[in-house]
Amino acid sequence: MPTSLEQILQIKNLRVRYSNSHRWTLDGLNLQIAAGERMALVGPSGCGKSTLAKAIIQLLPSGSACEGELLLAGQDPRSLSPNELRTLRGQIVGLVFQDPMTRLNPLMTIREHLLDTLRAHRPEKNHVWYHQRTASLLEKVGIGSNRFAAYPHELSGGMRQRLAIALAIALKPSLVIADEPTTSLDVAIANQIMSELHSLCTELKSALILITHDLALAGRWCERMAIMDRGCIHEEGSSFELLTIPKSNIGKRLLHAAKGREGKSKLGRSYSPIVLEIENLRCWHSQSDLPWKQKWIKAVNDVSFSVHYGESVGVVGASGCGKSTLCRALMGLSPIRGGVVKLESQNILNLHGRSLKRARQRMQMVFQDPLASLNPKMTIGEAVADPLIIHNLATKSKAKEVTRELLNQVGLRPAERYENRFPHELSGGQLQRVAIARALTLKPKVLICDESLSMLDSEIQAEILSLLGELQTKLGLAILLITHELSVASGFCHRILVFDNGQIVEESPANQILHAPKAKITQSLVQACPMLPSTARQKNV
Amino acid sequence: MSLSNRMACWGLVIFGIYLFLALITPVLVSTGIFPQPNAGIDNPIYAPPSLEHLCGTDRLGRDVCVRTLQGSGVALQVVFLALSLALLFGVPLGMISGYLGGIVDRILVLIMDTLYTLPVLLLSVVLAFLLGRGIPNAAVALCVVYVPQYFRVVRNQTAQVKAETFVEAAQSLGASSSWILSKYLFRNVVSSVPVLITLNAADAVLVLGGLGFLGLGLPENVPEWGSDLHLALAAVPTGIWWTALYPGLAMFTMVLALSFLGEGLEAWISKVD
Repeated sequence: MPTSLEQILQIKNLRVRYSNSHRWTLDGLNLQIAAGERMALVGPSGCGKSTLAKAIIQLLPSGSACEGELLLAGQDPRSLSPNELRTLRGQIVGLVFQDPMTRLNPLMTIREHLLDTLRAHRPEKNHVWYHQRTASLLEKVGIGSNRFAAYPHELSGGMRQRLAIALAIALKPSLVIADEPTTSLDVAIANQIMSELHSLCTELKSALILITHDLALAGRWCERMAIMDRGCIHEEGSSFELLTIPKSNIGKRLLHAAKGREGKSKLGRSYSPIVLEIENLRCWHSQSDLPWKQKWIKAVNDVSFSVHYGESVGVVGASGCGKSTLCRALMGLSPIRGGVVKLESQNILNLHGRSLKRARQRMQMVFQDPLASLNPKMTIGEAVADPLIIHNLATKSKAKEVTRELLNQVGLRPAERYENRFPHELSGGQLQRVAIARALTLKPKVLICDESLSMLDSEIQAEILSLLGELQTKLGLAILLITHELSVASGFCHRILVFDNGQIVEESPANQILHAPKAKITQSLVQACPMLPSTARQKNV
Repeated sequence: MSLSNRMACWGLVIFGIYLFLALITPVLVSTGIFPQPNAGIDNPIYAPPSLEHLCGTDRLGRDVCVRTLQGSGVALQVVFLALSLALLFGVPLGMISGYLGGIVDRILVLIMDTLYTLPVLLLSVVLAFLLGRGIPNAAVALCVVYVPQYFRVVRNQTAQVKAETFVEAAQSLGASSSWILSKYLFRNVVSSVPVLITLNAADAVLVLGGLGFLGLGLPENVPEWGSDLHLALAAVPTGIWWTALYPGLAMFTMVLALSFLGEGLEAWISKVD
């Protein structure tokens, strides 16, 4: 096998079609990866990235057609027997999936997972070797020996992904495929995971295919990049080149979207009156049932800030820092222990019943998962009109009119085409537009977006952000954008609050935070945040 | 066509025939084409099937054919009434219990589970005995048996759906509890109810027959399959088969049709979901 030493993966004109589909999911794809090379595969969702990973290790569902040339370490995986294929999957290719929880056995501890893999592939070794190898692997990915006996559900998302990486590299494969390995993690953890994966691949001299929709992430960790769309590769080259002067249309589109997502830093706003003022807000959850033995979890502790009309304020922090509790508390979904929440100079914590209901109309929220936040049995039109009917603000026919207007406003045109559809018939981006329209129905003054972008791919994120910006200037909305991505917040917001441990640790104008982070946690967030080359260069200056 | 589809089709067709017969028989009886179901004085006793009496006559000389046909209408009435009542109580109670949770939920679950532990026939026999005879009385006796089933299914479903984000989103829009229950939870919870209705209907036909067989439930002058079977039992050893066969067959076919319908519906709903 002379060529296989250099080319670990060779794909020529690969075509894949799923059994129930008429379309080729992969259509004439060419790709070559040399040993030890790191290649990022980027593209919008539905472009066939994950199908390619499945095709390489022949994990396609039965009945799918797979044509063309596919050579993995000089062998065609399609010609192998099931036994040989199993060997190939562990020893030549290691896989890291997006959501590790679903790929781990809930009844096996961390150590058992690794022992199981090692025993299956290296039956000739003895007991002591297995245990030594397991310990060294877990140490390598940064899992301490005190966690070896933990079960998957006891681990955080980051830890689970570390275990998945340990499993993938357990047999020193010559190719590691990471399919959106950090999408479900927050930026700081994602950065750690990626740097570990990166250094492990260097150490083992493994090639890496990183599948992602995040251009900045791809550019940061891989020297080569291939842009995929509609089942084939449109452009391939060095990451830097692709991120500065893309040649293909899809490349330009993606880069434009990624830039739109990072946005341009806005200058501080000229003075406008305060719409929302929060003083010493405390949200504590009691941990014990006994009233005389209280132990409090201080999810939000002594937080004070204010938001002006037409201003967007970003709330940034690692997961578990209390930012979600903050917006749930503001929306009245989570109990407040003390403090003042003034909405248009009226303390809503003193209000009850109908007046509270009326006050709350001026503050609305857009949730993280657009599909889950809409009633599956309600049409889009009904969902958007519902707030009006709840508050008795309009008759049915009037509500319908308002709904159409709103749907047009959020870019779902013509509204007649969408209003009678059900949520599952729309895409994630369209659904998030519907959720925004619904939040706007009551003409709020403050819009809270709780990680409203994190479930969408980057192109859609850019679209939603520009929609929010548009609505903000048109309606004078104050927007509270909760996110863990500093790059998004700094591009979209005027001011940024950094949360840690339920408290605000830093507050500064958005254009300063990337260049001069003060608090330690902010510095680590800025460090972790992948940036596109042009912005990154600015940062270094 | 899949098996479940075929079952649903057959179930629907047979059920439709029963419905048609139940509607047409009283008309035919009142116009005099069919004899009165309770008139037997002029007829011979235990006459075998003939052209004059298609299914023969029973111990009192009554026409078995007319009684069997009338019986289908009676059975459908009672079962319809009983299940509507069960739905009327079981579904809202289940939704409220599942949505509110806490002490209300615990008390309701305790009551319903206690009812659930009692054998169906025993419970309905006791209730039928206490309530006396009559179509509404029999329906109430049956309804109490089925309320806990609807309660359970709906309550568990509600408790599950309640935790979804869209309920929280509705709360954040300012929706009241009653609005959330009727607009958000109801439509997501009721999808499992139709299957339960058809399967319970099959069961209810049998329980009603059991009550009639034991001499409870409906008044004596209402033609009913269970009581007819009881009367026929004594004559079966002497070779008089027609008095037992026709009501028995009618009951069997109706239960079969409803079960088929339920199974088919279940497969269809799980496919839609």
